[in-house]
Amino acid sequence: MNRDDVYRGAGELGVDLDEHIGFVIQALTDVAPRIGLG
Amino acid sequence: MIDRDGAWQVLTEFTKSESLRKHALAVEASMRAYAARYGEDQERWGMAGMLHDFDYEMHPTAPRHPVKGAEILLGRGVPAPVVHAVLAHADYSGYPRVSRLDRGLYACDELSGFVTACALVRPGKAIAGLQTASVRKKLQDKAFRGP
Repeated sequence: MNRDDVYRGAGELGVDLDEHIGFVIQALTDVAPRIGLG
Repeated sequence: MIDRDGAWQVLTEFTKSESLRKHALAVEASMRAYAARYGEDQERWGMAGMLHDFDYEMHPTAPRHPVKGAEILLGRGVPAPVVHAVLAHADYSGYPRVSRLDRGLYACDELSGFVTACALVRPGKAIAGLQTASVRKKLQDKAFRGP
């Protein structure tokens, strides 16, 4: 896991990191059974 | 242009690992969500997410991944902007991130993997209830490596 890519990715996309994390959590939650997370 | 079923066939032809396939689906989901948010093409954004690491088992080392794989994608009818995003998600490829699609894939790839790792160490390996603050805390915990 490359944490720098996470920080840089949010910056390049122009989104707040916490908002980005919450957005991705929700996106993955919506497909949780397919990706083995619920 | 190749459709989602075609992209899935390409992915599963070259990717046998269940964990890599799940990662592909996770990044696809993140990309589709961002495409909807930005009013972008969900099919293209989702395809970039699904296929960004499709050649990893064949070419696990840089720069063959994803440069060699990109040639295959073009031959399978994957749109050039999607292929560019796949190339640009790897810094070492030399392909700059110039479009929102490029930047979206780069932003979604590593974080989707990290959020997955955070969920997999929870009881029941469930993402439901996972909080932003918990992910942020693990990002700051350099010792956290996931399952």
